[in-house]
Amino acid sequence: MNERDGAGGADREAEELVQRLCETDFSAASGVRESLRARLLAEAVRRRAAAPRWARAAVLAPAAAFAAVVLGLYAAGPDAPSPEAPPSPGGDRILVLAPKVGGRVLSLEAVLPESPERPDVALGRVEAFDGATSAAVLSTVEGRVTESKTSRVVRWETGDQVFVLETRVVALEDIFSTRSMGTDYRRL
Amino acid sequence: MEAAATAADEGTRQPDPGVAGPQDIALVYDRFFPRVYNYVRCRVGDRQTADDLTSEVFMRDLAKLDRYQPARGPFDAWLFAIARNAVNDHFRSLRWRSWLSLDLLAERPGREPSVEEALIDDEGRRRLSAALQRLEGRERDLLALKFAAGLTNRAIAAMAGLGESNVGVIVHRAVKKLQRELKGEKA
Repeated sequence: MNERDGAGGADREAEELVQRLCETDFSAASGVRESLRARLLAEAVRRRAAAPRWARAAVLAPAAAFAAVVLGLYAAGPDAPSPEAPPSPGGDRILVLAPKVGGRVLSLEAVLPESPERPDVALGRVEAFDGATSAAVLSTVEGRVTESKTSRVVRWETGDQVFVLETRVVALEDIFSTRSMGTDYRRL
Repeated sequence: MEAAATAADEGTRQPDPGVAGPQDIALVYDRFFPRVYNYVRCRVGDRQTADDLTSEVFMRDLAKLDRYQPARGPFDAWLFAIARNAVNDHFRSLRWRSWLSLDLLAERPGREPSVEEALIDDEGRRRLSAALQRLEGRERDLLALKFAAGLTNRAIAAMAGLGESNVGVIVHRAVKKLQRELKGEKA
């Protein structure tokens, strides 16, 4: 037997030993296997019976804490509704003021006779010029109307002035969302 | 909690939140008892101590089963970490007792198997166990983790605070040494 054979033989013996180590089962000689199993199961039953109170508390506590934080943030937030704030009479409606034509303010009923059908447009009125009737205004000016699905534009050309009245569907957010240098003017 | 038992097969699944039920415990126990017992027995040598420590391991395991986190490692590595700590605690207490009193030292379990054990165990197992006890503590620990517990070198390395390749070298040398011990016993 040369040196190589000797090394190979030693390796084989080592492999056999490892195999033996893996296969040797001392647990068959254990004197506690069954009794320990019974003890563990009994203990598990006892623990489970005692568990619901603290287990439920452990599960609910984080959820309750999270809900409290969310409510706290909501109450402290800038968009939180103020209980003193009166309800907005116009809701989300758009207030359109009457245009000036040649030094006079037109009545919107005159230039947009059908517009009150639209719930999102509220017609403004300037008290001082209420005297101007629709007929009087229409007899002096003539508007060119352009309509699309979401807007209606009336353009008047009165010699020295051009006047445009546009009504379009907008959300309240669009009107008051003007920002400059990071300032949200809704919060001012 | 059922997954705690399934972890016995997969080694990585997380127990569901809640308390381990009897079925979960039974599955984990039936699956792991031989491996845990063999690991403990390889390290302590005598049956009585192995019985006591294995009982302690499973009682600790039951108490901590709900805290098992798969993100921190496979289930078997977690379980054998408990077993390893129990055995280390045992040896630590032996050292402490031997330092306190020589009388107490007499309570230390013998390294050689008792007559009863010799009757129960077959000769091959008895000799192997005796040879294992003649290895150094770390060699015995790593051999037991590797072959009795069936852990990977990586898991052993993480548990023992060693490099993976270092574990391989120590295990290899320990096998060679065990081989010599067995041969010497024959001679």
